[in-house]
Amino acid sequence: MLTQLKQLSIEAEGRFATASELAFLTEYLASAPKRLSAYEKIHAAQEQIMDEIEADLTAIDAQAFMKGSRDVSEICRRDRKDTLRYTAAAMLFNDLSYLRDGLLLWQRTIVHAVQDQKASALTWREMPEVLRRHLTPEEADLIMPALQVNQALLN
Amino acid sequence: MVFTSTLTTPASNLSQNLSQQSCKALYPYKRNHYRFEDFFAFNQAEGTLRDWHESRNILASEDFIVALIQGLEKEVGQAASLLMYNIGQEWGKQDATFFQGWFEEQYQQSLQTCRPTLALEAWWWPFTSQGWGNWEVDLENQQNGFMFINIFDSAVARTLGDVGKPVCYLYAGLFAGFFSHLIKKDLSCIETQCYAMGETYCKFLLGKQDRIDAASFWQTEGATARDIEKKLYNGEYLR
Repeated sequence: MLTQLKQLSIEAEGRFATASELAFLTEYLASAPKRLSAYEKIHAAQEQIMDEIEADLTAIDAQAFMKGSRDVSEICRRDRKDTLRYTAAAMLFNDLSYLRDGLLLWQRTIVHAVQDQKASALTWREMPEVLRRHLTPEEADLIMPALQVNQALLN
Repeated sequence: MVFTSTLTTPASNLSQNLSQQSCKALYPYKRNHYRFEDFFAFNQAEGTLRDWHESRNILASEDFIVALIQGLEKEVGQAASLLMYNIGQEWGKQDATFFQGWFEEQYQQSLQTCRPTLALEAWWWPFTSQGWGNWEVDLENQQNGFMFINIFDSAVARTLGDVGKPVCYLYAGLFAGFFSHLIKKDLSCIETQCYAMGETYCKFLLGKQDRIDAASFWQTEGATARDIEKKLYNGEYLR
């Protein structure tokens, strides 16, 4: 939405924006209360979400947070929280380029550099299910596009 | 394009720049700062563009790159490629020192002790933001004295288009200079395939002089990047 607004402010310079150019804004405003509600729920439950995803991942793969003999679960938790916060903000603003350009393209290279692709892919594969436990179906639908971008890039 | 390092920037100017570069001023240790809006700061009063590391940048058009290369060719003929390589090499050496300073401050760890792949990604990200293209490093053959670097969307090759020969000498020099300084050994680099040869991306071979001399010879004889790779994997070098 922020990117679209910025683009619109450039394209509509010197004239009024047309109804079709403003359609995204109407659509956004209609969904804004649900976006805000979802954002606040994720904020309030972030530690619980972290605990749940950690339990789910460990149940799937007991070694998910082990690098050899080193336990890296705290580092993974920190990174997951950062990514979830960006994801929630992208949903709030309805702006996937904020998420992709501001975090994921960089994070993808770091994930590859430290060879964390497996844990990362597993995390973002399982995250939608965890978030559905905390959100209404309508709220969950709003955050799915951002989670799909995470899945596509952090693997 | 990095114009010059600004280590000598007076403190008053520095604080002015920082106040304008709000993202950095607010979050100096934010690592994912490579969006155009985050990475660069325009100072309209000075008419300058500075990046996250306080280096002065200029915005260069494709015409500028074409003029630079064709101008050099007109001045020095075939030596233009060597000249571009040497410019890149010197740039790489200087940038290695500059990089070490900001990396160790930002990542709070020594370049010597950190994971090499992490350091390399940290080094290249500013170049990506500046428009030099994305990269991919293959360190698999490091122990054999060579490695490959792929560049997607090279600024030079993209500008010159399909001219049927490698053109990214500046990049080759940059890699040679940077990596030589990083590992304290003399390394050379050659571009074995180029977007300007009709390929989809540029590929560079970085390694000890004998490997690069061999690759250069094979390339002159008509070997493709894949042929060169095969020969290197098979341990063929010039004696």
